[in-house]
Amino acid sequence: MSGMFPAVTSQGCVDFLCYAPSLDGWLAGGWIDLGWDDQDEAPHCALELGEKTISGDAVVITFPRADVRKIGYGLILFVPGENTRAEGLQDVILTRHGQSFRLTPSEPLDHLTEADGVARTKALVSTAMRSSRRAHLLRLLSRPAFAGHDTLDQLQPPVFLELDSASLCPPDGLLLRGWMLDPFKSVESIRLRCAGNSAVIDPDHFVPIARPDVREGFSKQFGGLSDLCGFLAYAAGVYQAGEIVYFEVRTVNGDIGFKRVQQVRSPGIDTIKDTLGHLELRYEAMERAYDHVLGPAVKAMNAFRLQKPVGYREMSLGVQPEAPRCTIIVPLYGRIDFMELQLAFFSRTLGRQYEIIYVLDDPNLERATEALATSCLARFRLPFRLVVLDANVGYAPANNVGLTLARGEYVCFLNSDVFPKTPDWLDHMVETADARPDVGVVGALLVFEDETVQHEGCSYEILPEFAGWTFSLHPRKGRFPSDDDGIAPADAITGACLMMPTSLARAVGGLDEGYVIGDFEDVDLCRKAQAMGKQCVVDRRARLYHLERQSQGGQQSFWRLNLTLYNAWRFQNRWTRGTDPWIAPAETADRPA
Amino acid sequence: MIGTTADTLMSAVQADGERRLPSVLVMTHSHPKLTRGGAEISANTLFRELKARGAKAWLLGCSSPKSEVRLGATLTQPYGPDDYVYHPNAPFDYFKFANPDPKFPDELAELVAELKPDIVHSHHFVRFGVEMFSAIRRGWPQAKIVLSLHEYLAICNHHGQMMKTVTYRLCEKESYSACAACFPQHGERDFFLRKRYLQMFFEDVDLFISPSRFLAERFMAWGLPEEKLAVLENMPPERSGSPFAAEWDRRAMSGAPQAEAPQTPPKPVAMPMFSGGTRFVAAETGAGSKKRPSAVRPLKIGFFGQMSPLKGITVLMDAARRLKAQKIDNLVIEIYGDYSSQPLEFQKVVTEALEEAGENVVFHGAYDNSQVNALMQRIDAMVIPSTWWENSPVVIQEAFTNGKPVICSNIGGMAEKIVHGVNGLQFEVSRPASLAEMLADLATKPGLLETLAAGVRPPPTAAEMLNRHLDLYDAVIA
Repeated sequence: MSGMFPAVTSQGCVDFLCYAPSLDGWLAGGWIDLGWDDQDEAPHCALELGEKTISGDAVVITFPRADVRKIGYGLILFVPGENTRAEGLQDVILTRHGQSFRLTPSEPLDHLTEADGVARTKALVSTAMRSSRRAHLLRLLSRPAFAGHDTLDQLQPPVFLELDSASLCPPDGLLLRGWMLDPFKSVESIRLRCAGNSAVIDPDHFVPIARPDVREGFSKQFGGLSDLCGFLAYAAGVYQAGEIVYFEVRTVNGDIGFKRVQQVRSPGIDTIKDTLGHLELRYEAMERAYDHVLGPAVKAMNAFRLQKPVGYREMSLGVQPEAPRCTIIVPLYGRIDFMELQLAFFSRTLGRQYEIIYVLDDPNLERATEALATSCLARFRLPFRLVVLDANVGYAPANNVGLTLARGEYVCFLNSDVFPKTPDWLDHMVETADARPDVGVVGALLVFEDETVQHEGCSYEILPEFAGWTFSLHPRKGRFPSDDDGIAPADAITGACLMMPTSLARAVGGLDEGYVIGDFEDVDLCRKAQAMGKQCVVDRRARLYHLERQSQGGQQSFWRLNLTLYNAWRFQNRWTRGTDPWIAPAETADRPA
Repeated sequence: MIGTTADTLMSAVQADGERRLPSVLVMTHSHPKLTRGGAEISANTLFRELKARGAKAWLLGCSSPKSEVRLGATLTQPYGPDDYVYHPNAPFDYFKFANPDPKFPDELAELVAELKPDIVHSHHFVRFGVEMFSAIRRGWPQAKIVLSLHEYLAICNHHGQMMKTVTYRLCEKESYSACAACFPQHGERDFFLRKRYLQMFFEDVDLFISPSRFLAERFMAWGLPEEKLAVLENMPPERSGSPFAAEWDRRAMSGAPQAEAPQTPPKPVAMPMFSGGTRFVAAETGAGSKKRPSAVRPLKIGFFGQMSPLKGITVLMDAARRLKAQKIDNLVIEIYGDYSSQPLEFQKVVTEALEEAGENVVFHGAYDNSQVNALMQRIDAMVIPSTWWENSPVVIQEAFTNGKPVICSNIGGMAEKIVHGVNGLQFEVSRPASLAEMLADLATKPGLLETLAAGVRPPPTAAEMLNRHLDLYDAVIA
């Protein structure tokens, strides 16, 4: 452990230790060998706590201590650093001019609260000889500490900071939504603290939110206020369960105000929706917002949501095909009657060499779906499998459960609002994949109910209003299809109907679950197949109706659009900005025989 | 097939003795022993006539809430060995006419496999669900499937009326957008899927029988293939409830003089209550003779049926007001019907109209269908002022059976049956002034009523109608 340090030539002992958030560092007290030379030059300190080491320049002050007067001096030590929350002090090593002193913890070591630690330190420091070090430490020690109640409203000039919500971004991040007024520009710094953790909250990184209500409420009192006084902010590495979270606002005058965060909301898809429902971002501001606030926050919440693999139950309806050529995977949410309609239409268009798996991603509809499934088998006599997930997990995870269970050589990811138009649609797609080993993804010609094109392959376009990011578009959408019913290459294929070899789908890890709810997973999957050296094609002989729903207006559309932008951000990071690149698996997927 | 009218088929009728009678499973969405709607009556008459002719026939109808259930049994036979009742076991999907009952497809398939009918003739698809056709196909592929169309239900989600939901304007044609506008809770795509679903299962039907050319054309425009559509009037209603029916049928066919009308007291309306202004007609004597003694009593125009907005009761009341204002007093409108099941608001409208009506309106209240012939004998002509298309109102057949001309709205399935100036008159739908004009003509133009009455041809008897059905069965089996 201490091999990295010069040989220890002397020793001492640490009696108490405390982390003082208001000082942003550690306080320790004990004694040190008489060999220590008390001078102003700061020694390097290594505080070995568990497996972590806090190291930095320390303020060390000695004072006369009767019980050790024959062997050493009393010692106070302050090391700036973060709270590692690691247990078990091993050693404190002070090094100066190549000479090291090892201080070992006493048995037992006193772990003090901030208040007790500061009080004890103050009392001991006051007995030390006057020095600039002593003065500096006393100044630090006289900083106000958070005593459990808000003091922000006592600051002069006034500063206002209110939170509408604080949402946990596991394990320890917090996404904050609120508003702040600093009418006299007196704020020097803002920190969010919790149990010794702290994070700097930089208003320059705020995602601004219009709060005309706040401006109006204060406009008589203060001039020069902006509507954009609302904010979203992200603080990483702060939260500790069961501990109080509070803001510490320091002013240019050296004053400090505290404000407690009353409630921390647990993460979930509703938290994500709620967070994203208040924003309308465009152009470059959008990228900053996603890079600093929305991106890491949503990423953490989504990862938490999906950290445990979702449980499921399976019903097998009818006699399943023995060695299916292709497995159709359809996630279901809300409209379970789509399953009824699809199975009715499939019953007249699909050969028995295909397997069908419905994945119900809507646990509330479990009983109704089971009953409907039984009825569908009785009416349409087409075997299928129904997988009921224990929780609503979203598009990619639901499909991935289906992918895990698929027995076909190929898998066809199909939306529940896609219905066959031509009876042999899947035969064509399988035939194309069989014939073309260079093809990794096969799509179909999808039309709306008025027979105009919904999808015949995707292409990419850069959209300046959305930070210049790359989005996939559907060329020819809304127009009648061309006469061409051949097979054409495409940049990407919509996940509404996307077929690929099962082995390839599994090799690339299925649909990326880091995208939330359902867009970009399909394009991402195509990029992964392309990274594995495979092509995407549209087989225009395969025709289906895709009754894509129009998006709704209002608050609903804000969160949906912003979630799409989150997904777009993730896609850019992977495939265009390269900040979070996808690494292809070492072994290339084997094609089905 | 649509061009194959009943008349041309008559030439193909063979003597019963030579005819090989097909075995027929007759299906109706509600068992005729339980409810008495038009489709049930038609189905029951067909079943009865087939049996009377010596054919193998079975009846399958759905249960009603009052039916006795045998625990776990989907089909029961409370009415005899050839008579089945289906007890639906799941809430029916009235949007796309799907029957989620998981037991029914196999039960039906097994039943037809056991009965081996040559023909399965269904008088509806509600409650059974349109999937019934594929179950029949699967259970007994040799069976030919015949479906009688009773209204525009498959085309229109608004109770099959082809009228707009809010404005009640007539609708010429379904479209996804127009239908979604009538039903904002459903999107265009839902109507697209509904149509595809229905049409997919209709593919298994070998023959659609429409009671009117108009209805057949609407279904052709909707997408049913012309070669699968035939126009044939429904089996005439049973008359067994009427003591005069058999004789009347015989006389109507032979052109013999008609019997005198029975003296039936008027039935008061069940509800709502109303006071004054409306008179119950007193039992009359001598009414119903074929020739109206115009100098003796006023012309009697009968309205029979539900007093609903769609049946045009307000159009009729308005026309009566106009006639009164025009001082045409030798005409009385006699209303046989009920409005107690109408929405409360409309009940109020009718009650007020009846209270304010002049002496030229007589409200008799609800009537029992077994008395319809007797009651019709008391009137001189029938009015059908419906504001919707109608399919082929059975009341026209009843009027013709009784030799009465019909004054009807000039649209849809009713207008097709009435030739203006020959066996009745047509007026502009929903226009009381137009109806008043026709009624005034009838009351004031000497000889007009007699001319129209002479133009009425008696409708085919049940036996004749059965022959026409058998012809269609033969054609579809061939």
